[in-house]
Amino acid sequence: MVRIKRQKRVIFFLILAAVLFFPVIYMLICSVWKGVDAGLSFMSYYDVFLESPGYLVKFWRSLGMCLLISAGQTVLACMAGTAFAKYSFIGKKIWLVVMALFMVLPIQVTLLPNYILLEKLGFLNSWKALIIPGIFSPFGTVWLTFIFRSLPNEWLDAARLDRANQLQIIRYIIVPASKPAIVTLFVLVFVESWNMVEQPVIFLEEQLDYPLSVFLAGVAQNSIGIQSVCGLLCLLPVTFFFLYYHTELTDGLRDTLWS
Amino acid sequence: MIIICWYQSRRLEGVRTMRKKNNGLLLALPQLAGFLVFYFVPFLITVWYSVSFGIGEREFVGLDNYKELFQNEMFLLAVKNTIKYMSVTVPITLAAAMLLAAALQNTVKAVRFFQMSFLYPMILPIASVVLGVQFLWGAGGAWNRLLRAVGVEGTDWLQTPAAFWVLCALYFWRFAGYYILIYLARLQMIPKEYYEYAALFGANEKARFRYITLPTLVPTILFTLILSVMNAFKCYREAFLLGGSHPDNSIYLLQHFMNNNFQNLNYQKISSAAVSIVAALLFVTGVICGLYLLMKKGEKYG
Repeated sequence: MVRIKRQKRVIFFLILAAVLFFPVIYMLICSVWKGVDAGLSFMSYYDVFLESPGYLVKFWRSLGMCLLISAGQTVLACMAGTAFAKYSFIGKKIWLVVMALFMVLPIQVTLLPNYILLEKLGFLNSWKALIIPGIFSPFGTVWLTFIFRSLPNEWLDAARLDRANQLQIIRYIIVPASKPAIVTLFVLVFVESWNMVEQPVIFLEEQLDYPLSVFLAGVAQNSIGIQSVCGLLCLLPVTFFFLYYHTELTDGLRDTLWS
Repeated sequence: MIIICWYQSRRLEGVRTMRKKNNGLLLALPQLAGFLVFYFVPFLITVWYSVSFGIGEREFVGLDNYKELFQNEMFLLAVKNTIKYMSVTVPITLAAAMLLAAALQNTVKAVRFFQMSFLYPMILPIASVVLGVQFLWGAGGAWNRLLRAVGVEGTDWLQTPAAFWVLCALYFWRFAGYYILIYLARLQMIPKEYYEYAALFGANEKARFRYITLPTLVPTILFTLILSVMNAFKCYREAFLLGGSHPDNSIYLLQHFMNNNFQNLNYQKISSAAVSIVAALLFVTGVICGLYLLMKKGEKYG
């Protein structure tokens, strides 16, 4: 009886995993399987990693861009989130409501004036156009404001008694106390920018300049092998974050509820 | 002299209270400034563009742009598709997630593996997922090879109306796990005694779900509803990577309409479409919040 139950459970887990991980598994198979007559081969890996450096260059550049965006937004959001949650300034509540509204809006709403503005600043056709508006996205601030609100005020008072200034309070009290939420924010912003499609398509004219997210759709149309290796390459950083931070991620995503 | 002294003291006092009142301003300033420059002011400009016309000097034309927009066939198609997409994906995903969460509630006790694998699809890069989908349903994909083996000639399924359902399935696959996780976390806060008590009084499983589980979940449902609408707007990425900027008619979304009008920089069309979206969203959010408040009131007095 017990054994049947366990078998059922194992089968259930396997099916679930197969459904959830299907693109990964499928691409792993496609990257080495060359059809019935050719059998297994690792040529596609050789092509992508050693033969043509273009793919790897694109990968590292996209990675750098996304890390910049997520680091920038996380730092700014920590500062602004503290200000919104624990300090006061003119029009605080209105600002928060407006930012929360913009968080829900689709990106297309502000794309046109953004385009005009970036053109005036001379940022068009360079990755500055993707990075700078990305850093200032309101998502992080709203997210962290709700998290920071639940921290007890007494901690801040204690730090103030020890003559800590605002930046020190953030660095030594607020950030360590809400680490899961901050890590989650970082990863979410990273995923968001790693998936960026709308902005590059509009802000960049040269198709060769597109980051990995858009570039991948048009890569080596005739070779499924190369396509799947590139797809796996694209998976790597996200999967790394996911495995490395999975405790923080699950806790952080869950805790958005109680705030 | 006295006046100057009085003025000075007033000013100092003012500065002091100001400082206390505005002690967070410097911290928030970088974010606020960036938000203003790249999001808020652009939005105001969008509103102005949507009610004006002209190439050099813009003139106020009232609602003419909107009239033109709502006669545009492509726009109407895009609106229809977007509404259809949302009304299919959002309720089905949320309802399925809720039922699954209720089913998992007592069988699995927050196994890390479960939580992780539920979140993984959400974090996967869309580009990779789309590649996988193309291998499955594209012109030379696995599905077509299977069909050919049976003797039926396949097509590029992503260029047919089936693309719409592929897009819906992708949404479900991507976000259902996350919503399950959220619901599960909420359900675990319900004391077990409630269920035991109800069972003692002869409440069957259906009744227990209806009278214990569902009411606890109402605020969470609201939260996930907003979240899922927000996520549903992001499906443009999948649609674009699947079908390019001119996909099959069934997945021609509002975002396609706006992005495509960038090619000729038709300010009027883009901006009036943008303002219409905002208005619709505000309306829907208002209705949801109103319903919630009404329900709360009903609970209090009913």
